[in-house]
Amino acid sequence: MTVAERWTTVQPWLSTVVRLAMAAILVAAAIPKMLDIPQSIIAVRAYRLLPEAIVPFVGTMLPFFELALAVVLAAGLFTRWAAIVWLLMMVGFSIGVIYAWSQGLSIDCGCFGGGGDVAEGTTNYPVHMLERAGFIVLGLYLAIWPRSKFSVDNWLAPKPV
Amino acid sequence: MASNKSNKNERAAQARKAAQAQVKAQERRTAAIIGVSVIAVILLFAGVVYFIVRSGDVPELDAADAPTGADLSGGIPISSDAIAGVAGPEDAARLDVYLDFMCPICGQFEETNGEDIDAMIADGSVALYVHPISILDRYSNGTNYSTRAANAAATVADAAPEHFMEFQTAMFENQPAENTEGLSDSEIADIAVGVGVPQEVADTFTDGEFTKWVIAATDQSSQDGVPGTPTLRMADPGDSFDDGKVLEQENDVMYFQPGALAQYVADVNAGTVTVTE
Repeated sequence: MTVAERWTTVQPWLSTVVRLAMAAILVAAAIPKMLDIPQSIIAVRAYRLLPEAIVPFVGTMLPFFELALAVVLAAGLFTRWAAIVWLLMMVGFSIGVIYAWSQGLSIDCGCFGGGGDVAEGTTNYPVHMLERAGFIVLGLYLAIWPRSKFSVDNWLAPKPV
Repeated sequence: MASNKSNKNERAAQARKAAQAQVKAQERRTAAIIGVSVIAVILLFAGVVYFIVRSGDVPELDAADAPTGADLSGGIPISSDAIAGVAGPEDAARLDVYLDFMCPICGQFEETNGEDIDAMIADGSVALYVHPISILDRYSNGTNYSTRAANAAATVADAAPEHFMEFQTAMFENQPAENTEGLSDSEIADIAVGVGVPQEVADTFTDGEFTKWVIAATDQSSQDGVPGTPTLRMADPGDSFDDGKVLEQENDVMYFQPGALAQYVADVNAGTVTVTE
């Protein structure tokens, strides 16, 4: 088996793992926020990036949006587009974290619920950025190789016989 | 000839079969796309509905039934006679204290600074505003202890204002641990009666008369940049709430060190230190 052949076999499986991992990450991020929407709003506000008029709406919609994207990813529908939406979201979050860092804000990212400002010295921006970078790598991978097993996409467009 | 014809028929049948299969497959595809999209759209729609429903839950601070004397920042003023709802001295520094009765560090703050603050109130060197807010409801196993306790404090401020400060101290002395159900309304009432609040006032805690105000004041505090509890906000003597700023331990005053806050307030009153430029 050549390397290329091996890659053709492995890639859909790897894409499946990546796709399901992304869906799981979104669910893990959405559930705690959904259980405490006011906290989610406070977390969004703590970035001090958005105007107050839309902060409550963004804070409320964020977990619902994450869950909707998780459903689409788990089903494996429009995988490439879903990956691109994921990337846009992650870039947005990264801008938030970088901004908060640059402004010296003491905030918890609120990525997986919680969030808001925290005591000075308990923030961990480098770790957050690494996490973000990892998530972006996942998204890039799936955007480039969206074909995966057990996906609606795959079922919709079977290999030409 | 004959074999030619049957070949043709076979081909036609195959073509028909393929066409039918294609239609079926197309139908399945459409169904799958619709199914997944509908779930996603329903989720987003649920979010919008939830948002609309909830936006009615957070009243504007000026629309909520506030305890007597509370201002539009959600603060309950304390007079130099330690009476809640009556403004303190105008020529002294304004100090806003945000606290959540569930927050352990608030208890620590109260222990460290409670007596100093009482003394500063008495000698007129600080205009204190207390903000009982509710940000830790998720730590009371669903009993919303933070909100209930803040409502009780607002009720005392409104109906038994001379006992407000003692009630606050007693609440921290009897502070429940996080992730417990907290104190029940009747336990809170017993604490109130213990510091002199009339029984008939304490009995109204369960009515949640000021619950809406607590929610509105909590939301206002978040908009005013209050990052958590306890938070101190201070304004120079003569300045209003809006002129002040949130005090940071690192840059302004290490208020968990005994005496540090009292010293800072004294410096601000003396003009040797200014809170804002």
